[in-house]
Amino acid sequence: MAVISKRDLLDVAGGAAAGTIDGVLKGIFNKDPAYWTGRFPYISAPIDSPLYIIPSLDDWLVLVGSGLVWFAGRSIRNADLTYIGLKAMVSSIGMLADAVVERARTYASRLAYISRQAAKPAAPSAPKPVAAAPVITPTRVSTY
Amino acid sequence: MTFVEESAGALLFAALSQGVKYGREVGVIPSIATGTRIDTEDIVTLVSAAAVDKLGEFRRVGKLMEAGSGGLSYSVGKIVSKLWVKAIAGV
Repeated sequence: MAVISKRDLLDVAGGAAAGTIDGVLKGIFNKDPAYWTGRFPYISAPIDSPLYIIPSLDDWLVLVGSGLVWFAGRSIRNADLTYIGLKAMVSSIGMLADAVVERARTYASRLAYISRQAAKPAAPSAPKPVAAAPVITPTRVSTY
Repeated sequence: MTFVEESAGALLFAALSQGVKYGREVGVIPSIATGTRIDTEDIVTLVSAAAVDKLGEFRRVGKLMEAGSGGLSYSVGKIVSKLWVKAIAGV
């Protein structure tokens, strides 16, 4: 029994396929986050919403891309490509779960920050500024 | 069904990865920062998934083998993804 079998290599190839799709999408985003935030495919719910924990569209596209690899393998009846596509889908499901946990942590820490801010005692009020003296402009007073 | 069991394995190893990452963030687990985003949790997940996969293979326990196989794909995918991010964006 070989220590590294063909099945192991196909497992790694499937993971690498999903990782390539995910890494290219994330790399493009990280190259210019200010430009890509909110643009296709980096679309997600706003951070104020509980729906924020749902991964953004680019994470789901990794699953779709992996599914396409699996479908291509099925279509041309190539067992290895089908297996790689299946493994890429498994890998992308794991990465989706990762994204859910990361986003839930971000959302929870934001909620905690907001509640800490709300519980803070109000700062003592600053002394009122002295009102400026009214400007008196000389006017001509009628004597009649 | 293989796909379900492998996906369950990937989810288990994703949970392991998040646990190790949390431990690293609070200082319980040391960091082995590599200059990319690859860190302790990635290496631990990869090694443990490969170990579970091989254990299942040698002991002929199908479910263990499938769970390890799913975890191996997941951890390789994550590492490759981080390498691509480093190559494209430099972070």
